[in-house]
Amino acid sequence: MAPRYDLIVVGAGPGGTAAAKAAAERKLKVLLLERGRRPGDKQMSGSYLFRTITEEIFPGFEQADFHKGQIRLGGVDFRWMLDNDEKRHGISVAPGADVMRNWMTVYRNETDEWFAEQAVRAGAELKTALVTDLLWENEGTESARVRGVVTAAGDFEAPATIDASGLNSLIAERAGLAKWGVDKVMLGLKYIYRVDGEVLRQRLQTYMDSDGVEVDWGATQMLCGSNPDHFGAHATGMPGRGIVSICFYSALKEMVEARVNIHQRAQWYLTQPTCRRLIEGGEFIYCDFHALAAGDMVGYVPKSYLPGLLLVGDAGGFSQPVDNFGANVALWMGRMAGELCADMKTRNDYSEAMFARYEENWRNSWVGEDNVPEISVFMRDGSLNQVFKTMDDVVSYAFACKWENTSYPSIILGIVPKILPVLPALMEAPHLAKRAAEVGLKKASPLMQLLGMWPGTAPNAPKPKGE
Amino acid sequence: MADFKQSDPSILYGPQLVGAKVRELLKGKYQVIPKTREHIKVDGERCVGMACQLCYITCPTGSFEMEEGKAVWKYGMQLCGECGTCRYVCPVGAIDWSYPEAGTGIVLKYS
Ligand SMILES: Cc1cc2nc3c(=O)[nH]c(=O)nc-3n(C[C@H](O)[C@H](O)[C@H](O)COP(=O)(O)OP(=O)(O)OC[C@H]3O[C@@H](n4cnc5c(N)ncnc54)[C@H](O)[C@@H]3O)c2cc1C
Repeated sequence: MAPRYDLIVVGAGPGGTAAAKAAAERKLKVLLLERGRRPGDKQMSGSYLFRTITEEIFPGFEQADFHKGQIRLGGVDFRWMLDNDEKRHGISVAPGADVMRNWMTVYRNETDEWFAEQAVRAGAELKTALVTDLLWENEGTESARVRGVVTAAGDFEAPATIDASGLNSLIAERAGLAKWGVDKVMLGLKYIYRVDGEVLRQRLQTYMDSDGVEVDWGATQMLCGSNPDHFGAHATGMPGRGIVSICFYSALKEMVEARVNIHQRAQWYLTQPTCRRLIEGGEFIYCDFHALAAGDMVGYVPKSYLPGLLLVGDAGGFSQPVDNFGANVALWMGRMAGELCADMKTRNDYSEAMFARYEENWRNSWVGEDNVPEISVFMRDGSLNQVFKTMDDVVSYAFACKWENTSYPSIILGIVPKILPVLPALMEAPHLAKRAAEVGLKKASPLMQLLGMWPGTAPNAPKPKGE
Repeated sequence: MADFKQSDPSILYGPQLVGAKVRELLKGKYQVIPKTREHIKVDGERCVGMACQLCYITCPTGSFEMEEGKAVWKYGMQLCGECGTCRYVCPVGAIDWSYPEAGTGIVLKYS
């Protein structure tokens, strides 16, 4: 007989560790399986975690040792377009240190290890093993149910399995819940350079925030190439460690169409002045790779559960579709899934309806609300660039005219034809407004119902948070 | 390819150069715990070879070579970054893809 657990969690990323910890705290016998030698080995994302969420799920996070030498962002330099004349269209946003305090920089190979430590401390058992398949009950029939996992170290059984094995999840595919492909995956690449810390400080113009943590003036240059629809990159400096890391992203679909390697795109970015300045004199020390969901093109998987199985985080393509900050999503969903499995055990109810509740829960949270591929389509199909380019044209035009003593009313007249080309892009806005209105109505419905202004039961009324 | 600025000599041009350059870039810098079993296999029967070359072109570690008109996962046991790109770009499903055994393979790190 295979060893039995209350819950098996596959993957010790943010999703898996949050799930394992939540369940272990509720006294479940939890097995957390990770293919890396230790959690974090397979993680490259030089990541931004949201302090409030992470601290709530993993108390002690902000005080953890690995934040030493971290630098936070005081702003972001968005340069959406950088065309062949090196003319930039874009915006720099520098809301200031204290606004950005909740956006914490981490290296995930450190964080994930720490997350897993917390799960183990809560009572979860961590094992190094590669899950290669699922164990089924009545496979292929109506009443099919997942009853555990297959690994080279043997089979493990549990009434509930959480797949938090990240993008490329073979398990989610095997279960028929997800289907990956070139149109759904982006490749992330990270170049890491060693640059003298003091030199970096000067380049980044760092200062201190009220936590006493170093902040830079938006050294994270978000940049898209002249084919900005598919190619993006950003650079981050860590003077405390003397490290600059530069991440590049490229949609596989685009790489296939253009028949290019991501390093070719990367080389192009490295030659851009803002980036060149940052790494000048630095030594290339390492290079990482990982796939991430091209969230905009996918939206989320249609179904996130089967009897016996829940998909958490990237395994279900739940990479935040707008900003791709999927680690935060994974943390949130992970805890939800872990708590639900504890609930199942308490009630001794592992029916399909219980598993279905997971989907209902996340759909009713911000994770569900954020499933707005329309927004990222707007960002990536060039519409947003069009808007920025127009803003840029308008401002340049206004300046140029004023220096020639053109009156303001004439300037405004001259601007009108410049705005026309952007109208098609703006026509997409009603779509976005519709999504916002839907969410607004949903949020308002319980109150309206209370006031007798809503017929029948509220649609998808948000539930009070568990605990 | 989009109209990227082509005048800078440091840009790696043709895909043929990328693999070699990448392998050079990664030489001695890369931590891989030896893999014991090949986790990626190319089915030579299915591979359409020179007409495609996509795995060879897009692999970020330059782990593939084109040999006798077919793609070969040549340096993979030392280099493979486990990202999954080859698996997705292959138009004919000739790549049997999996992760390497637990505890082996690439170790990603910040420095
Ligand atoms: C370059 C890059 C930058 C990013 N930046 C950010 C950012 O700034 N902020 C942010 O929030 N998100 C960011 N993301 C996205 C974020 O990394 C993911 O959304 C997040 O890691 C998803 O978490 P997860 O727990 O679902 O899966 P993962 O973090 O991918 O964890 C999956 C774990 O499962 C293990 N595993 C996989 N398969 C198996 C198996 N079969 N058996 C056993 N173990 C297995 C893996 O080794 C891994 O440890 C970035 C991603 C990339 C690639």
